[in-house]
Order: sequence, then C-alpha cells, then structure tokens
Amino acid sequence: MITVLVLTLIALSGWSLSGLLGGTRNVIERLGLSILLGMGALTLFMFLAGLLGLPIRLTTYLPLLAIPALDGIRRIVTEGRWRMSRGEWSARWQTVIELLHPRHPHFVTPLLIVILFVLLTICLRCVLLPNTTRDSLVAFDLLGRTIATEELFRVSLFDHTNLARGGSYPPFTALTFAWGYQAGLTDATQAILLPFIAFVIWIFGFARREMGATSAYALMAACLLSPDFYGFLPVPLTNLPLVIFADIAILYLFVALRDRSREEAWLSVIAITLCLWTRSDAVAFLVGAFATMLLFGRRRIPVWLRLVYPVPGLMALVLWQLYIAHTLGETSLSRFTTHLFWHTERMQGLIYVGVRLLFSVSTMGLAAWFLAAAMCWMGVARRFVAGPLLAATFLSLGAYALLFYQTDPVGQDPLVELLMSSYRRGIIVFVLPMWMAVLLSPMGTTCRRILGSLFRTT
Amino acid sequence: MMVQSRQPLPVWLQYIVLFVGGAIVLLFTPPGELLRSYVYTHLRQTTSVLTQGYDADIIREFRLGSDYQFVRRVRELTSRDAVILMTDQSAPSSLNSLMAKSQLWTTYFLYPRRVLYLHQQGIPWYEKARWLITDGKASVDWIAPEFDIRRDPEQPDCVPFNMGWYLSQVRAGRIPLQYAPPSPPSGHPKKR
Repeated sequence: MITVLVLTLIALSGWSLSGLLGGTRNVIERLGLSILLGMGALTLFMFLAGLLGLPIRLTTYLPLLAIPALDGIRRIVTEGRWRMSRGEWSARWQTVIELLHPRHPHFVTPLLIVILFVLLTICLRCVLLPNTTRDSLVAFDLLGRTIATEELFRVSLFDHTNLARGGSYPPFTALTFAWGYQAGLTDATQAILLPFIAFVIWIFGFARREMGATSAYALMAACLLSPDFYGFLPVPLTNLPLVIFADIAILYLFVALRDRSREEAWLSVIAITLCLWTRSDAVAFLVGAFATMLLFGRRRIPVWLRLVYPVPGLMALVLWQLYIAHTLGETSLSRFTTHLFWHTERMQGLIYVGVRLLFSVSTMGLAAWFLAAAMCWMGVARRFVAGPLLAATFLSLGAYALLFYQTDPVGQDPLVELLMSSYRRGIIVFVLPMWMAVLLSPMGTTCRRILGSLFRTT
Repeated sequence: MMVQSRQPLPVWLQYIVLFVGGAIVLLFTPPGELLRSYVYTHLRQTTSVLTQGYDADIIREFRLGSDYQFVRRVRELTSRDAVILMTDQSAPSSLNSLMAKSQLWTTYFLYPRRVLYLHQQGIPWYEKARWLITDGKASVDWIAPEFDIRRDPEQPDCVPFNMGWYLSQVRAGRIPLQYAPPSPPSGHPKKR
C-alpha cells in the first residue's frame, strides 16, 4: 500500500514538473516522463536531506513530495486532457476491438503480442527472482539497503569498507533502491522494474507522437528484442537509468532542434542532468549533445539557452565530485589520463571493439545494420533527414569512445576486457536513437508504405 | 487512431505472413536465438518459483551455491549486532569463493552485522568482534600471527567459522544444498 502511495506521489510530482515545462506531449508520453522526472527529483531531495543532516526516511521526503504532487493533481483536473467525449471514447474502443479482432488481422497485433510477452517475462523475472548480480550486490544494492536502514546518506559502510567502487557512482541508483526498500519493496530487482516500465511507456508515447501508432509498436518491439536491451537493462545496475536519461536527452534535443521548441530543449537539459546524476561518465553524452546543440542550434534555439545547456549537468557532476573527494578522498578523474595522447594500439583496440559491439547482433540486435542500410538509402536518394538525431548519436558515441581511450585500466583488467564489459553497457544507449533514425529515414517511410499496402495499419 | 480499411491480401494469407514470418524472424535470427534462450531461462526459473513454492532464499542458493548457504548459516548463528572478522583477500586461500574474496559481498548478506577484515584493528567495533570467518587456521597465522584468538584474553569467546571446511563439506555433498538449513555438523562451530 505504501509502495503505491509513494509511486503515486512520484508520478504526480513528476506530472507537475513536466507541466511547468509546457509542450505538446500526449498523455502516455507525459505519464512515463512524469514517473522518471519524479524519481530524479526524489533522489535529489533525499541527497540534499542527507547533506543537511536530516534523516532519509519516508516521513522526511514524502511531505516534500506532497507539495508538487498537489500541483500535479491541480494540473490533471484543470488541463482536462483525460476528458474525451463519448464519441472519442467509442472510437478508441472500436480501434482496440479491431486491433484484436481475429477475423481482421492487423499488422500491429503480432508486435503487440511480442511486446506483451517480453514485458511479462521481464516483470516476472524482476518481481520473483532476487538480485544475484555481484556488481549490484557489492555496490548500489548494498548502499541502497544500508541507506534505507540507517536513514543516512553517509552510512557506516564508508567507515570500514572499501566502497570506492560503488560509492563513487552518483547517487541516483542507490537512492532509488533506498526509497524502494523504505516503501516496502523487498529486492532491488523490483525497484529497477519501476523506471523500466516508465521508460517503456515513455518510448511508446513519444514514438506515437512522432511517427504514429504502428511505428511506435515497431520501435518498442525492435528495442525490446535487442538482446542487451532485454538482457542488461532490467538488472539493478546503473545501466538502465543511464540509458533512460541519455535517450530522453538525445531524442528531446532532436525534437527541440527540428521544431525550434524551447520546452523540449529544457527537457533535454533536465534529462542530461539526471544522466550525470546517475553516472559520471555520462559527461560524454553531455559533450555530444552540447556539440549537436552548437552545430544545429543556430537560428533555432536562443543563444543563451544554447550556452546554458550544459550548465546544470556540469553542476551536478562537480557537486558529486566534490562530495566524493570529501568523503572517499578521490574523484572519478583519478581513473583517467587527464592529458590527450596518442597510442596506436589502444586506438585500434577501441575502434575494433566498438565496431564489433555495434554490429554484433547478439549485443545491439539489428539496429546498427538497419541504420547503415538506412544511411546508404539516404545517400542514394539524396534525401537526408533526422540530421540532429544522427549527429547527437554519433557525436555522443565518439565522445564516449574518447572517454574510454583516456581511461586507465584498473588493476589487472586489460583494456579489451574493460571495453567488453563497461563500454558495452554504455553503447546500449544508442539502440533507441538508431531505431528511431531508421524509422524516420526514407527507408523507414518506404517500409511503412509497403506494409500499409499489404496489411491494415493504424 | 485512424484504421485503414483496405485489405489487399486474403485474411488467411495475412495470418501466415504475419505470424509465421514473425516467428521466423524471432526464432531463427541470431538475436532471436539469444532471446529465446534468455526468455526460456527466465520463464523456467519464474515458473519454478510459482509452481514449486521457491522463495528468494532458494533462488539465491541456486544461483550463488555453497557460498550463500554458508553465509546463511552464519546469519542464523549470529545476532543482528554481531561484529564478524574475516580473513583478508590477500591470505592464501584454496577456495574458489566469492565470499572469501569480498568483504562487501559478505556484508550484503550479513547486514546489519558488521564484517571487518582482520587487519582493520583501528575500527572502533573491532574490539567487539566475537566471530571469525576463516579459511582454516593456517591463513589466520599467516595474515596476523599476533592475532591468536585462542590466546587473546580480550576475545575469549571469539568463535571461528571454518569456511574452508564448511564449503568443502557442501561441495562434497555431505551438507546438502536445500532450503531447510542443515543442522550444524558436530563440533562446528567450535567454542572454547
């Protein structure tokens, strides 16, 4: 019961936050976004409460959440976007009936079945199977559990264990587990399911607004069936929050640049800040997104907003680095070579592993192959679309590769092993933008047209 | 949502194309094969949970093996405020064990008990330690020869858990891996 209450408050406060930014988002997209924004805001409250010496417990942060939640309720009532006439309800119901009617097969039906089946297996796995992932147990889950029990941010573990590995990560994941435990969840796998479901809802809502329902179902199916997306995301690590916020930042940046929309640009700013609130190496995505903003933002986004774009994210990064320098005595910079250098072997290894991972069907599915085909198609047809999206994707990928180029392999891990584990997890971020670019490309449009001529589509 | 009404293909052909084609794509492409194994593994485990009444403890034991059984045994025998010492990861160990290597891993399952390495004498709770997880006495002598728990007047009740012995018993099948925790083998843990 308390879990439902906390989740409702999170969603309502997120609704209020997304309402403050305005924009033309549909209800589904806004629902997913609200839960994610609410979670980000909650972890920020919890961290600040910890810094101020307040106990991190439900009675501290729920009243704080209640204020934006009340505004969220007011917005739901006054905006009235859920209100539809009887005719509109009837039309929607008719669509659902037609979608599921056995005598009129619909192109979306098998996609829907696949999506529901995959989501069901993920939900069952997260709800029923406990967390046994070592990296999570010794880092975020342990930290989340102790924060929930000791009601402090600087828990006793810092005094007698080497938490440098897990404790140096920004606190979003650990604090998400902490409020999950305090709200009655029994395992971190259950806590990670909530942002995952919110993300899936957001993907559908966003894609439906951008490309229509059939493409939205196709995008969801393509993403969920990418093996690393399915296999690695619903694991209680930092992978999922990183992918969520990086994808939201990249896609809203694309929409902002295409539609000259300030609201979407602000959403992108918030998402990239939360991304850095999850993992410090997300600074690579900030660099990629900022470079895209500078390249494409001229005459589309005001100068001051272009310049302000990276500031909140950098503030989150600096705040966290100062904090761990104070508590752990080291910063994330200690793992990097801080000057530029050239090392042929390392660069070759990086490019080799990067290309291998991107085009590996057992990692990224068919996303990179389809994107390559779509780009060839664009070249032949001389019709280039989704430029900002492709630029943000490739610049972020380049910056992320450079980050690993500068990394000092820890202990005895050779660079290739480091790349195959850590680098691989960061690359999952690009699954969604790649599929999105494919569907928006002329190849995607032609495929849609062909399918539309053969089957019923929406 | 607008539904287009044209249907150029007969219904049965649409079904064949949609479902058979979809199944081929899903099952016979490499990612499909991988996903099939993922989905199969997860479904098998979750249905075991649902049909055979397994709980998180059994699944953890299933996935983590004898290490988890040992740590559960320690949890049963110690109070929640216990301070437990363990040998350092630099100690010579023949154990291929997660627990023997990681204080954090052990702490996760024993929390709120505090787990300290033998060399962490400066920690305030160290003096309250009454339990010791060791890979045999030899490693304790090697890592901290001055810390002879049998002679230490400050810790007369310190009780060793001989992890090496316990895990070897589990792996030899003398202590079965099952949900119901086995009764402690005679003479273990030894109290002096």
